[in-house]
Amino acid sequence: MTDFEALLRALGAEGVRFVVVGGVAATAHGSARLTNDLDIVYARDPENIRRLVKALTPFRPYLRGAPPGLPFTWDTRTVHAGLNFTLDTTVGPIDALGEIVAGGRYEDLAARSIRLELFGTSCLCLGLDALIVNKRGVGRPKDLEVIAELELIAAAAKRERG
Amino acid sequence: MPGAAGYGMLGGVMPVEATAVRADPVVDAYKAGIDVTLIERNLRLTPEERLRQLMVLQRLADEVRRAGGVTPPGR
Repeated sequence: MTDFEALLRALGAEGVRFVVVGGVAATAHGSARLTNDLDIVYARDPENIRRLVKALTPFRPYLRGAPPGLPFTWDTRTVHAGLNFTLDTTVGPIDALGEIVAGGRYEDLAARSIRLELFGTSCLCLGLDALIVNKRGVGRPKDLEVIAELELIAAAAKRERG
Repeated sequence: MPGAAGYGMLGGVMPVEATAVRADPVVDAYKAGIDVTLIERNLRLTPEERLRQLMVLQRLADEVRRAGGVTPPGR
């Protein structure tokens, strides 16, 4: 199980600027699908990278799927040198992304996000329409059913609002 | 960020931006197989309750995988 509460609280406590995207964003909007990892898009400025590194360090991040023993150090230098990190941590998998296909960077996504209070932490979550546009833009066959569900959620939410 | 400020007054329903999305017959075909009652149930929850529910489901899925001799993902 992924401890979303621990991850979001840690990111919030350090003041990391990020947007929740992917399956957890879909869940936050009402999706009933099972997802395992937390996907976030983080701002790439040096101060935010410092905060991101500090927030995740207690969870001992390691590259997901990498062979044991592969040299990997989770520090600001590594994050500056890279962009998208698929990580395993002691509280579950997290993808810390500098940029996503059909979505762009933090600054692009933040403008299309809504603010949610999750586990006592205020965080940005990609808006439902933006999530649909992103999934359509990525164009993966496995996302077709996800898009269908998100569109049904949008329709149901619209009905509920009257 | 249209509608975000009013979120707390909408009983767990998130605002939807007025972006037109083109119809896709394949996506529409998938809709027939989706249980809308689950969506409606989820929309009555808060976003945090939805995430807590997801963690419960993950725990269940992990247990089922272990019972079947499969290592849960991300370990």
